Amino acid sequence: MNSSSPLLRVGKTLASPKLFFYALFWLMILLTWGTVAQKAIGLYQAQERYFSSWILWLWAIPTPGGRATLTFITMNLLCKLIFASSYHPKKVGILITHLGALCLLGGGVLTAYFMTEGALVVKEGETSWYYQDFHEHELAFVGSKDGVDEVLAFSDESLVTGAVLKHSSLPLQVEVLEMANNIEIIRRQSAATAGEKGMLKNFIFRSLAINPEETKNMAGMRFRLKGLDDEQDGQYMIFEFMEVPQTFSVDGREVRIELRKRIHPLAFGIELLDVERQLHPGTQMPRSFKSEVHVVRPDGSKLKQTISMNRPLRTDGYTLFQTHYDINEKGEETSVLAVVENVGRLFPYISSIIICIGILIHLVLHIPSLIRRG
Amino acid sequence: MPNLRFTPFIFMAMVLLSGCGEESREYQVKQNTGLGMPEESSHQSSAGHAGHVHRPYDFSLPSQWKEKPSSGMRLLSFSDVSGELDGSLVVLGLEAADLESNINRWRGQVGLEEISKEACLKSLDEGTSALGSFKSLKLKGPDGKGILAAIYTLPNKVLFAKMMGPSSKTENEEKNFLTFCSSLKAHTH
Repeated sequence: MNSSSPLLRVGKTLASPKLFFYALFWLMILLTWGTVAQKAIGLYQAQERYFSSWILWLWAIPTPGGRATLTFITMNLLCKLIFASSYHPKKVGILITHLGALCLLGGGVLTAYFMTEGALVVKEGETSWYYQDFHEHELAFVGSKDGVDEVLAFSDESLVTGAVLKHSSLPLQVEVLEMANNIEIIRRQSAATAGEKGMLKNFIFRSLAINPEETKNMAGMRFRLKGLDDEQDGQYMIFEFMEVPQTFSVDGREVRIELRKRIHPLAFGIELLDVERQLHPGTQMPRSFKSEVHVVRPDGSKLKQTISMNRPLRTDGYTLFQTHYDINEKGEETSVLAVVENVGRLFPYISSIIICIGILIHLVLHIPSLIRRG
Repeated sequence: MPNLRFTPFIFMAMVLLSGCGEESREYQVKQNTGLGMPEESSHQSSAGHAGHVHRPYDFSLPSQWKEKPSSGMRLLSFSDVSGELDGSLVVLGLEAADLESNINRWRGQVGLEEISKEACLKSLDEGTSALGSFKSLKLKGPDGKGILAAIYTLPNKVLFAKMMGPSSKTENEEKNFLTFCSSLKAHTH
Protein backbone atom coordinates (compact mmCIF):
# COMPACT_ATOMS: atom_id res chain seq x y z
CA MET A 1 0.00 0.00 0.00
CA ASN A 2 1.19 3.48 -0.84
CA SER A 3 2.48 5.05 2.38
CA SER A 4 0.75 8.34 1.54
CA SER A 5 -2.64 6.66 0.94
CA PRO A 6 -5.40 8.34 3.01
CA LEU A 7 -6.64 4.91 4.10
CA LEU A 8 -3.23 4.04 5.50
CA ARG A 9 -2.98 7.38 7.28
CA VAL A 10 -6.45 6.94 8.86
CA GLY A 11 -5.60 3.34 9.76
CA LYS A 12 -2.30 4.29 11.40
CA THR A 13 -3.93 7.14 13.32
CA LEU A 14 -6.67 4.85 14.58
CA ALA A 15 -4.05 2.27 15.59
CA SER A 16 -2.48 4.63 18.10
CA PRO A 17 -1.85 3.04 21.54
CA LYS A 18 -2.65 6.42 23.09
CA LEU A 19 -6.19 6.24 21.73
CA PHE A 20 -6.47 2.73 23.12
CA PHE A 21 -5.36 3.97 26.53
CA TYR A 22 -7.86 6.86 26.61
CA ALA A 23 -10.70 4.65 25.35
CA LEU A 24 -9.93 2.05 28.03
CA PHE A 25 -9.80 4.77 30.67
CA TRP A 26 -13.20 6.10 29.52
CA LEU A 27 -14.58 2.56 29.59
CA MET A 28 -13.48 2.21 33.21
CA ILE A 29 -15.26 5.47 34.07
CA LEU A 30 -18.42 4.24 32.34
CA LEU A 31 -18.20 0.93 34.16
CA THR A 32 -17.90 2.61 37.56
CA TRP A 33 -20.60 5.13 36.76
CA GLY A 34 -23.02 2.52 35.43
CA THR A 35 -22.44 0.26 38.42
CA VAL A 36 -23.17 3.07 40.87
CA ALA A 37 -26.24 4.15 38.84
CA GLN A 38 -27.71 0.64 39.03
CA LYS A 39 -28.87 1.30 42.58
CA ALA A 40 -30.97 4.27 41.54
CA ILE A 41 -32.26 3.31 38.11
CA GLY A 42 -32.08 -0.48 38.16
CA LEU A 43 -29.88 -3.00 36.41
CA TYR A 44 -31.51 -2.96 32.97
CA GLN A 45 -31.84 0.82 32.68
CA ALA A 46 -28.19 1.27 33.75
CA GLN A 47 -27.08 -1.34 31.23
CA GLU A 48 -29.04 0.37 28.45
CA ARG A 49 -27.94 3.89 29.35
CA TYR A 50 -24.24 3.36 30.08
CA PHE A 51 -23.13 0.12 28.42
CA SER A 52 -25.42 -0.57 25.43
CA SER A 53 -25.68 3.00 24.18
CA TRP A 54 -23.87 4.77 21.36
CA ILE A 55 -24.23 8.16 23.00
CA LEU A 56 -24.37 8.95 26.69
CA TRP A 57 -25.86 12.36 27.34
CA LEU A 58 -24.26 14.14 30.26
CA TRP A 59 -26.87 16.86 30.65
CA ALA A 60 -26.69 18.43 27.14
CA ILE A 61 -23.22 17.12 26.29
CA PRO A 62 -23.00 14.00 24.13
CA THR A 63 -20.27 11.57 25.19
CA PRO A 64 -19.44 8.09 23.86
CA GLY A 65 -21.59 5.37 25.39
CA GLY A 66 -20.33 1.87 26.17
CA ARG A 67 -21.15 0.49 22.71
CA ALA A 68 -19.35 3.34 20.92
CA THR A 69 -16.32 2.96 23.19
CA LEU A 70 -16.07 -0.80 22.68
CA THR A 71 -16.52 -0.40 18.91
CA PHE A 72 -13.72 2.16 18.93
CA ILE A 73 -11.44 -0.19 20.92
CA THR A 74 -12.18 -2.99 18.42
CA MET A 75 -11.38 -0.64 15.52
CA ASN A 76 -8.19 0.40 17.29
CA LEU A 77 -7.06 -3.21 17.76
CA LEU A 78 -7.96 -4.11 14.16
CA CYS A 79 -6.05 -1.13 12.83
CA LYS A 80 -3.11 -1.96 15.08
CA LEU A 81 -3.08 -5.50 13.75
CA ILE A 82 -3.42 -4.49 10.10
CA PHE A 83 -1.62 -1.17 9.77
CA ALA A 84 0.87 -0.96 12.61
CA SER A 85 2.07 -4.46 13.46
CA SER A 86 5.34 -5.93 12.33
CA TYR A 87 4.84 -9.47 11.07
CA HIS A 88 8.05 -10.89 12.44
CA PRO A 89 8.27 -14.48 13.78
CA LYS A 90 9.32 -13.08 17.16
CA LYS A 91 6.10 -11.07 17.36
CA VAL A 92 3.80 -14.03 16.66
CA GLY A 93 2.82 -14.27 20.36
CA ILE A 94 1.71 -10.62 20.41
CA LEU A 95 -0.24 -11.07 17.19
CA ILE A 96 -2.05 -14.11 18.57
CA THR A 97 -2.85 -12.21 21.79
CA HIS A 98 -4.32 -9.37 19.73
CA LEU A 99 -6.38 -11.85 17.73
CA GLY A 100 -7.66 -13.33 21.01
CA ALA A 101 -8.71 -9.88 22.24
CA LEU A 102 -10.46 -9.22 18.91
CA CYS A 103 -12.22 -12.56 19.20
CA LEU A 104 -13.46 -11.51 22.65
CA LEU A 105 -14.77 -8.20 21.32
CA GLY A 106 -16.32 -9.96 18.29
CA GLY A 107 -18.17 -12.26 20.69
CA GLY A 108 -19.37 -9.14 22.48
CA VAL A 109 -20.81 -7.79 19.23
CA LEU A 110 -22.68 -11.06 18.62
CA THR A 111 -24.00 -11.05 22.19
CA ALA A 112 -25.05 -7.39 21.99
CA TYR A 113 -27.06 -7.85 18.81
CA PHE A 114 -28.27 -11.41 18.82
CA MET A 115 -28.65 -12.55 22.43
CA THR A 116 -32.20 -12.99 23.70
CA GLU A 117 -33.27 -13.78 27.24
CA GLY A 118 -36.62 -14.22 28.83
CA ALA A 119 -38.84 -16.28 31.08
CA LEU A 120 -40.60 -19.53 30.32
CA VAL A 121 -43.48 -19.96 32.75
CA VAL A 122 -44.98 -23.42 32.89
CA LYS A 123 -47.46 -25.03 35.26
CA GLU A 124 -47.18 -28.63 36.34
CA GLY A 125 -48.74 -30.81 33.64
CA GLU A 126 -48.54 -28.06 30.98
CA THR A 127 -46.27 -27.68 27.99
CA SER A 128 -44.94 -24.28 26.97
CA TRP A 129 -43.62 -23.60 23.47
CA TYR A 130 -42.24 -20.09 23.87
CA TYR A 131 -40.57 -17.71 26.25
CA GLN A 132 -41.23 -14.03 26.84
CA ASP A 133 -38.49 -11.45 26.71
CA PHE A 134 -37.50 -9.85 30.01
CA HIS A 135 -37.29 -6.36 28.55
CA GLU A 136 -38.56 -5.84 25.00
CA HIS A 137 -42.22 -5.28 24.16
CA GLU A 138 -44.25 -6.03 21.07
CA LEU A 139 -47.63 -5.00 19.78
CA ALA A 140 -49.11 -8.26 18.55
CA PHE A 141 -52.07 -8.91 16.28
CA VAL A 142 -53.02 -12.47 17.10
CA GLY A 143 -55.38 -14.82 15.30
CA SER A 144 -55.80 -18.30 16.79
CA LYS A 145 -56.50 -21.50 14.94
CA ASP A 146 -56.29 -25.10 16.21
CA GLY A 147 -54.24 -24.18 19.28
CA VAL A 148 -51.72 -22.16 17.28
CA ASP A 149 -51.42 -18.37 17.46
CA GLU A 150 -50.66 -16.68 14.14
CA VAL A 151 -48.97 -13.43 15.04
CA LEU A 152 -47.95 -10.21 13.34
CA ALA A 153 -45.88 -8.26 15.86
CA PHE A 154 -44.45 -4.75 15.79
CA SER A 155 -41.28 -4.41 17.80
CA ASP A 156 -40.33 -1.90 20.51
CA GLU A 157 -38.52 0.35 17.99
CA SER A 158 -41.76 1.10 16.16
CA LEU A 159 -43.86 1.62 19.31
CA VAL A 160 -43.24 5.32 19.76
CA THR A 161 -45.72 8.14 20.11
CA GLY A 162 -46.71 9.41 16.67
CA ALA A 163 -45.73 6.25 14.75
CA VAL A 164 -48.12 4.78 12.19
CA LEU A 165 -48.03 0.99 12.02
CA LYS A 166 -48.98 -0.70 8.77
CA HIS A 167 -48.34 -4.08 7.22
CA SER A 168 -49.29 -5.63 3.89
CA SER A 169 -51.01 -8.56 5.64
CA LEU A 170 -53.17 -6.29 7.79
CA PRO A 171 -56.12 -4.35 6.31
CA LEU A 172 -55.88 -1.68 8.99
CA GLN A 173 -53.48 0.85 10.39
CA VAL A 174 -52.64 1.84 13.91
CA GLU A 175 -51.51 5.32 14.86
CA VAL A 176 -49.73 5.37 18.21
CA LEU A 177 -51.18 8.33 20.12
CA GLU A 178 -49.31 7.68 23.36
CA MET A 179 -46.88 4.99 24.45
CA ALA A 180 -45.52 4.69 27.98
CA ASN A 181 -43.37 2.01 29.59
CA ASN A 182 -44.95 2.38 33.01
CA ILE A 183 -48.52 3.46 33.59
CA GLU A 184 -51.25 3.64 36.16
CA ILE A 185 -54.85 2.95 35.17
CA ILE A 186 -57.35 5.56 36.27
CA ARG A 187 -61.12 5.45 36.08
CA ARG A 188 -62.13 8.39 33.92
CA GLN A 189 -64.16 11.20 35.46
CA SER A 190 -65.34 12.83 32.23
CA ALA A 191 -67.54 11.09 29.69
CA ALA A 192 -65.83 9.42 26.75
CA THR A 193 -66.30 10.83 23.26
CA ALA A 194 -67.98 8.79 20.53
CA GLY A 195 -64.61 7.90 19.03
CA GLU A 196 -63.20 6.49 22.29
CA LYS A 197 -63.85 2.77 22.46
CA GLY A 198 -63.00 -0.37 24.42
CA MET A 199 -61.44 0.25 27.82
CA LEU A 200 -61.01 3.92 26.93
CA LYS A 201 -64.74 4.38 27.51
CA ASN A 202 -64.25 3.91 31.24
CA PHE A 203 -60.54 4.28 31.91
CA ILE A 204 -57.57 6.38 30.98
CA PHE A 205 -53.94 5.93 31.95
CA ARG A 206 -51.26 8.13 33.41
CA SER A 207 -47.55 7.73 32.66
CA LEU A 208 -45.35 6.97 35.63
CA ALA A 209 -41.60 7.13 36.07
CA ILE A 210 -39.85 3.86 35.23
CA ASN A 211 -39.53 1.70 38.33
CA PRO A 212 -35.97 0.38 38.87
CA GLU A 213 -37.53 -3.03 39.58
CA GLU A 214 -38.53 -3.93 36.06
CA THR A 215 -41.27 -6.40 36.97
CA LYS A 216 -43.18 -3.55 38.60
CA ASN A 217 -43.53 -1.64 35.31
CA MET A 218 -46.63 -2.03 33.18
CA ALA A 219 -46.49 -0.60 29.65
CA GLY A 220 -49.54 1.03 28.14
CA MET A 221 -50.55 2.47 24.81
CA ARG A 222 -53.34 4.63 23.40
CA PHE A 223 -53.87 4.29 19.68
CA ARG A 224 -56.18 5.19 16.83
CA LEU A 225 -57.37 2.35 14.62
CA LYS A 226 -58.32 3.05 11.01
CA GLY A 227 -59.32 0.92 8.05
CA LEU A 228 -61.95 -1.46 9.46
CA ASP A 229 -65.48 -0.05 9.73
CA ASP A 230 -67.20 2.85 11.51
CA GLU A 231 -68.15 0.64 14.41
CA GLN A 232 -64.60 -0.55 15.05
CA ASP A 233 -62.48 2.39 13.92
CA GLY A 234 -61.64 4.74 16.79
CA GLN A 235 -59.34 5.32 19.73
CA TYR A 236 -58.44 2.49 22.10
CA MET A 237 -56.12 1.83 24.97
CA ILE A 238 -54.31 -1.36 25.82
CA PHE A 239 -51.73 -2.27 28.41
CA GLU A 240 -49.58 -5.18 29.49
CA PHE A 241 -51.25 -8.08 31.29
CA MET A 242 -54.68 -6.88 30.17
CA GLU A 243 -57.16 -9.36 31.47
CA VAL A 244 -59.74 -9.12 28.72
CA PRO A 245 -57.92 -8.70 25.41
CA GLN A 246 -59.10 -6.09 22.92
CA THR A 247 -60.48 -7.93 19.90
CA PHE A 248 -61.52 -6.87 16.41
CA SER A 249 -63.24 -8.57 13.54
CA VAL A 250 -60.87 -8.47 10.59
CA ASP A 251 -62.24 -9.99 7.37
CA GLY A 252 -64.64 -12.09 9.43
CA ARG A 253 -61.89 -13.45 11.65
CA GLU A 254 -61.40 -12.55 15.30
CA VAL A 255 -58.05 -10.86 15.87
CA ARG A 256 -56.91 -9.77 19.30
CA ILE A 257 -54.40 -7.04 19.86
CA GLU A 258 -51.97 -7.35 22.74
CA LEU A 259 -49.22 -5.19 24.15
CA ARG A 260 -46.91 -7.68 25.78
CA LYS A 261 -43.34 -8.68 26.37
CA ARG A 262 -41.87 -9.95 23.11
CA ILE A 263 -42.54 -13.65 22.51
CA HIS A 264 -39.76 -15.91 21.27
CA PRO A 265 -41.18 -19.15 19.87
CA LEU A 266 -39.16 -22.31 20.57
CA ALA A 267 -38.68 -25.23 18.21
CA PHE A 268 -39.42 -27.53 21.15
CA GLY A 269 -41.79 -27.54 24.10
CA ILE A 270 -41.05 -27.81 27.80
CA GLU A 271 -43.52 -30.02 29.66
CA LEU A 272 -43.30 -29.64 33.42
CA LEU A 273 -43.62 -33.02 35.11
CA ASP A 274 -42.75 -31.96 38.63
CA VAL A 275 -41.22 -29.00 40.42
CA GLU A 276 -39.62 -29.35 43.79
CA ARG A 277 -38.59 -26.78 46.37
CA GLN A 278 -36.19 -27.55 49.20
CA LEU A 279 -36.10 -25.26 52.23
CA HIS A 280 -33.32 -24.49 54.66
CA PRO A 281 -34.07 -26.62 57.73
CA GLY A 282 -36.47 -24.95 60.15
CA THR A 283 -37.14 -21.96 57.88
CA GLN A 284 -39.33 -20.96 54.96
CA MET A 285 -36.25 -19.84 53.00
CA PRO A 286 -35.81 -21.81 49.79
CA ARG A 287 -32.50 -23.63 49.46
CA SER A 288 -33.01 -24.94 45.95
CA PHE A 289 -35.57 -25.51 43.21
CA LYS A 290 -35.62 -28.40 40.78
CA SER A 291 -37.83 -29.05 37.74
CA GLU A 292 -38.36 -32.44 36.11
CA VAL A 293 -39.28 -31.71 32.49
CA HIS A 294 -39.86 -33.38 29.17
CA VAL A 295 -38.29 -31.71 26.16
CA VAL A 296 -41.11 -32.24 23.65
CA ARG A 297 -40.44 -32.24 19.91
CA PRO A 298 -43.10 -31.29 17.34
CA ASP A 299 -43.23 -34.95 16.22
CA GLY A 300 -44.31 -35.86 19.77
CA SER A 301 -41.03 -37.45 20.92
CA LYS A 302 -40.01 -36.61 24.47
CA LEU A 303 -36.76 -36.59 26.41
CA LYS A 304 -36.77 -36.42 30.20
CA GLN A 305 -34.41 -33.85 31.74
CA THR A 306 -33.80 -32.26 35.13
CA ILE A 307 -33.17 -28.53 35.57
CA SER A 308 -31.90 -27.39 38.94
CA MET A 309 -30.36 -24.17 40.20
CA ASN A 310 -26.78 -25.05 39.31
CA ARG A 311 -27.55 -27.47 36.49
CA PRO A 312 -29.13 -25.64 33.54
CA LEU A 313 -30.46 -27.50 30.52
CA ARG A 314 -28.61 -26.78 27.28
CA THR A 315 -30.43 -27.72 24.11
CA ASP A 316 -30.79 -26.38 20.55
CA GLY A 317 -28.56 -23.39 21.33
CA TYR A 318 -30.67 -22.38 24.33
CA THR A 319 -29.74 -22.52 28.01
CA LEU A 320 -32.60 -22.93 30.47
CA PHE A 321 -31.94 -21.98 34.10
CA GLN A 322 -34.17 -22.66 37.07
CA THR A 323 -35.04 -19.27 38.56
CA HIS A 324 -38.33 -19.27 40.37
CA TYR A 325 -41.03 -21.42 41.87
CA ASP A 326 -44.63 -20.56 42.67
CA ILE A 327 -47.55 -22.34 44.24
CA ASN A 328 -51.08 -20.95 44.25
CA GLU A 329 -53.87 -21.37 46.77
CA LYS A 330 -55.05 -24.53 45.01
CA GLY A 331 -51.65 -26.11 45.39
CA GLU A 332 -50.84 -25.87 41.68
CA GLU A 333 -47.11 -25.48 41.21
CA THR A 334 -45.47 -23.33 38.56
CA SER A 335 -41.86 -23.28 37.50
CA VAL A 336 -40.21 -20.21 35.98
CA LEU A 337 -37.18 -20.91 33.82
CA ALA A 338 -34.87 -18.21 32.49
CA VAL A 339 -34.10 -18.94 28.83
CA VAL A 340 -30.98 -17.53 27.20
CA GLU A 341 -30.05 -17.82 23.55
CA ASN A 342 -26.57 -16.46 22.93
CA VAL A 343 -24.61 -17.31 19.80
CA GLY A 344 -21.58 -15.54 21.28
CA ARG A 345 -21.49 -17.53 24.52
CA LEU A 346 -18.42 -19.61 23.60
CA PHE A 347 -16.35 -16.63 22.49
CA PRO A 348 -15.05 -15.64 25.97
CA TYR A 349 -13.76 -19.20 26.50
CA ILE A 350 -12.22 -19.47 23.04
CA SER A 351 -10.63 -16.02 23.18
CA SER A 352 -9.25 -16.62 26.69
CA ILE A 353 -7.51 -19.75 25.41
CA ILE A 354 -6.15 -17.84 22.37
CA ILE A 355 -4.88 -15.01 24.60
CA CYS A 356 -3.19 -17.50 26.97
CA ILE A 357 -1.53 -19.29 24.03
CA GLY A 358 -0.36 -15.94 22.61
CA ILE A 359 1.16 -14.81 25.92
CA LEU A 360 2.77 -18.23 26.42
CA ILE A 361 4.34 -18.19 22.93
CA HIS A 362 5.56 -14.65 23.51
CA LEU A 363 7.19 -15.65 26.81
CA VAL A 364 8.76 -18.81 25.37
CA LEU A 365 10.19 -16.93 22.37
CA HIS A 366 11.73 -14.35 24.69
CA ILE A 367 13.21 -16.75 27.23
CA PRO A 368 16.61 -16.92 25.42
CA SER A 369 16.97 -13.11 25.35
CA LEU A 370 15.85 -12.89 28.98
CA ILE A 371 18.49 -15.49 29.96
CA ARG A 372 21.15 -13.59 28.01
CA ARG A 373 20.18 -10.34 29.77
CA GLY A 374 20.09 -12.07 33.16
CA MET B 1 -0.38 -11.65 3.25
CA PRO B 2 -3.99 -10.96 2.08
CA ASN B 3 -4.98 -7.35 1.75
CA LEU B 4 -6.96 -6.63 4.92
CA ARG B 5 -6.82 -2.84 4.89
CA PHE B 6 -10.60 -2.44 4.51
CA THR B 7 -11.38 -4.84 7.38
CA PRO B 8 -11.70 -2.25 10.19
CA PHE B 9 -14.01 -0.09 8.11
CA ILE B 10 -16.12 -3.06 6.99
CA PHE B 11 -16.37 -4.06 10.66
CA MET B 12 -17.52 -0.55 11.59
CA ALA B 13 -20.17 -0.55 8.85
CA MET B 14 -21.42 -3.99 9.93
CA VAL B 15 -21.73 -2.95 13.57
CA LEU B 16 -23.63 0.20 12.62
CA LEU B 17 -25.95 -1.65 10.23
CA SER B 18 -26.65 -4.40 12.77
CA GLY B 19 -28.27 -1.74 14.93
CA CYS B 20 -31.07 -1.32 12.41
CA GLY B 21 -33.48 -3.87 13.90
CA GLU B 22 -36.60 -5.30 12.29
CA GLU B 23 -39.78 -3.29 12.75
CA SER B 24 -42.26 -6.11 12.38
CA ARG B 25 -42.19 -9.88 12.15
CA GLU B 26 -44.65 -12.67 11.54
CA TYR B 27 -44.52 -15.92 13.45
CA GLN B 28 -46.59 -18.81 14.67
CA VAL B 29 -46.49 -20.10 18.22
CA LYS B 30 -48.25 -22.99 19.86
CA GLN B 31 -50.44 -22.03 22.79
CA ASN B 32 -49.60 -23.58 26.12
CA THR B 33 -51.07 -27.05 26.29
CA GLY B 34 -51.82 -29.06 29.36
CA LEU B 35 -53.58 -32.01 30.93
CA GLY B 36 -57.26 -31.24 30.44
CA MET B 37 -56.50 -27.56 30.45
CA PRO B 38 -59.34 -25.52 29.03
CA GLU B 39 -58.52 -23.36 26.04
CA GLU B 40 -59.49 -20.18 27.91
CA SER B 41 -57.01 -20.80 30.70
CA SER B 42 -54.37 -21.54 28.15
CA HIS B 43 -54.98 -18.16 26.60
CA GLN B 44 -54.83 -16.43 29.98
CA SER B 45 -51.50 -18.01 30.55
CA SER B 46 -50.15 -16.90 27.22
CA ALA B 47 -51.36 -13.35 27.57
CA GLY B 48 -51.04 -12.71 31.23
CA HIS B 49 -48.52 -14.87 33.03
CA ALA B 50 -50.25 -14.99 36.35
CA GLY B 51 -46.99 -16.01 37.94
CA HIS B 52 -45.44 -12.72 36.96
CA VAL B 53 -48.08 -10.39 38.35
CA HIS B 54 -46.56 -8.38 41.13
CA ARG B 55 -48.77 -8.80 44.20
CA PRO B 56 -47.98 -6.23 46.85
CA TYR B 57 -50.56 -7.58 49.34
CA ASP B 58 -50.88 -10.74 51.38
CA PHE B 59 -54.25 -12.21 52.31
CA SER B 60 -55.85 -15.40 53.39
CA LEU B 61 -58.40 -16.77 50.98
CA PRO B 62 -61.25 -18.80 52.60
CA SER B 63 -60.50 -22.49 52.12
CA GLN B 64 -63.58 -23.11 49.92
CA TRP B 65 -62.70 -20.34 47.52
CA LYS B 66 -60.63 -20.88 44.43
CA GLU B 67 -57.94 -18.56 43.14
CA LYS B 68 -58.05 -18.04 39.37
CA PRO B 69 -55.42 -16.79 36.94
CA SER B 70 -55.27 -13.04 37.14
CA SER B 71 -53.46 -10.25 35.41
CA GLY B 72 -53.70 -6.61 34.40
CA MET B 73 -55.51 -4.44 36.88
CA ARG B 74 -56.59 -7.50 38.82
CA LEU B 75 -54.09 -8.32 41.49
CA LEU B 76 -56.16 -11.36 42.31
CA SER B 77 -59.10 -13.22 40.81
CA PHE B 78 -61.09 -15.77 42.74
CA SER B 79 -64.44 -17.52 42.91
CA ASP B 80 -66.57 -19.24 45.50
CA VAL B 81 -66.80 -23.02 45.64
CA SER B 82 -69.63 -23.09 43.07
CA GLY B 83 -67.69 -20.92 40.65
CA GLU B 84 -70.75 -18.70 40.18
CA LEU B 85 -69.30 -15.72 42.00
CA ASP B 86 -66.53 -13.78 40.33
CA GLY B 87 -64.18 -12.11 42.78
CA SER B 88 -61.42 -9.63 42.17
CA LEU B 89 -58.91 -7.43 43.91
CA VAL B 90 -58.10 -4.35 41.87
CA VAL B 91 -55.83 -1.39 42.53
CA LEU B 92 -56.38 2.02 40.93
CA GLY B 93 -55.18 5.61 41.37
CA LEU B 94 -56.80 7.89 43.94
CA GLU B 95 -58.86 9.48 41.17
CA ALA B 96 -60.97 6.32 41.30
CA ALA B 97 -61.68 6.64 45.02
CA ASP B 98 -64.93 8.59 44.73
CA LEU B 99 -67.42 6.55 46.75
CA GLU B 100 -70.57 7.94 45.16
CA SER B 101 -69.60 7.15 41.57
CA ASN B 102 -68.32 3.67 42.48
CA ILE B 103 -71.40 2.76 44.48
CA ASN B 104 -73.76 4.03 41.80
CA ARG B 105 -71.82 2.15 39.14
CA TRP B 106 -72.15 -1.07 41.14
CA ARG B 107 -75.82 -0.36 41.77
CA GLY B 108 -76.26 -0.04 38.01
CA GLN B 109 -74.55 -3.42 37.51
CA VAL B 110 -77.19 -5.16 39.65
CA GLY B 111 -80.11 -3.18 38.24
CA LEU B 112 -80.58 -0.64 41.04
CA GLU B 113 -81.10 3.07 40.52
CA GLU B 114 -78.56 5.73 41.38
CA ILE B 115 -78.82 7.29 44.82
CA SER B 116 -77.55 10.52 46.41
CA LYS B 117 -74.11 10.90 47.95
CA GLU B 118 -75.59 10.91 51.48
CA ALA B 119 -77.54 7.74 50.79
CA CYS B 120 -74.36 6.14 49.37
CA LEU B 121 -72.40 6.93 52.51
CA LYS B 122 -75.21 5.59 54.69
CA SER B 123 -75.19 2.29 52.80
CA LEU B 124 -71.58 1.59 53.79
CA ASP B 125 -70.31 -0.44 56.73
CA GLU B 126 -66.82 -0.12 58.17
CA GLY B 127 -64.27 -2.88 58.67
CA THR B 128 -60.64 -3.06 59.71
CA SER B 129 -57.59 -4.77 58.32
CA ALA B 130 -53.83 -4.48 58.61
CA LEU B 131 -54.03 -2.01 55.70
CA GLY B 132 -56.30 0.22 57.78
CA SER B 133 -60.05 0.64 57.82
CA PHE B 134 -62.15 -0.15 54.78
CA LYS B 135 -65.71 0.54 53.69
CA SER B 136 -67.84 -2.45 52.73
CA LEU B 137 -71.08 -2.71 50.86
CA LYS B 138 -73.68 -5.33 50.04
CA LEU B 139 -76.02 -4.88 47.08
CA LYS B 140 -78.94 -7.01 45.99
CA GLY B 141 -80.64 -6.20 42.71
CA PRO B 142 -84.24 -6.86 41.64
CA ASP B 143 -83.17 -9.37 39.00
CA GLY B 144 -81.27 -11.67 41.37
CA LYS B 145 -77.78 -10.18 40.98
CA GLY B 146 -75.72 -9.28 43.99
CA ILE B 147 -72.44 -7.56 44.78
CA LEU B 148 -70.18 -7.62 47.80
CA ALA B 149 -67.56 -4.89 47.71
CA ALA B 150 -64.94 -3.28 49.89
CA ILE B 151 -62.96 -0.09 49.30
CA TYR B 152 -59.60 0.64 50.92
CA THR B 153 -58.44 4.22 50.49
CA LEU B 154 -54.67 4.09 50.90
CA PRO B 155 -52.20 7.02 50.86
CA ASN B 156 -51.66 7.00 47.09
CA LYS B 157 -54.06 4.46 45.68
CA VAL B 158 -57.38 2.80 46.17
CA LEU B 159 -57.94 -0.92 46.46
CA PHE B 160 -61.24 -2.58 45.52
CA ALA B 161 -62.26 -6.07 46.58
CA LYS B 162 -65.41 -7.24 44.87
CA MET B 163 -67.53 -10.36 44.41
CA MET B 164 -70.39 -10.46 41.98
CA GLY B 165 -72.93 -13.09 40.96
CA PRO B 166 -76.32 -14.46 42.04
CA SER B 167 -77.53 -12.59 45.12
CA SER B 168 -78.36 -15.89 46.88
CA LYS B 169 -74.65 -16.75 46.67
CA THR B 170 -73.37 -13.32 47.67
CA GLU B 171 -75.54 -13.50 50.80
CA ASN B 172 -74.06 -16.88 51.69
CA GLU B 173 -70.52 -15.66 51.16
CA GLU B 174 -70.82 -12.32 52.97
CA LYS B 175 -69.11 -13.55 56.14
CA ASN B 176 -66.26 -15.16 54.15
CA PHE B 177 -65.88 -12.01 52.09
CA LEU B 178 -65.53 -9.79 55.14
CA THR B 179 -63.04 -12.25 56.68
CA PHE B 180 -61.03 -12.10 53.45
CA CYS B 181 -61.19 -8.28 53.45
CA SER B 182 -59.96 -8.15 57.04
CA SER B 183 -57.05 -10.44 56.22
CA LEU B 184 -55.50 -8.09 53.64
CA LYS B 185 -52.11 -6.74 54.60
CA ALA B 186 -49.02 -5.33 52.91
CA HIS B 187 -46.80 -8.02 51.41
CA THR B 188 -43.79 -8.98 53.48
CA HIS B 189 -40.79 -10.75 51.93
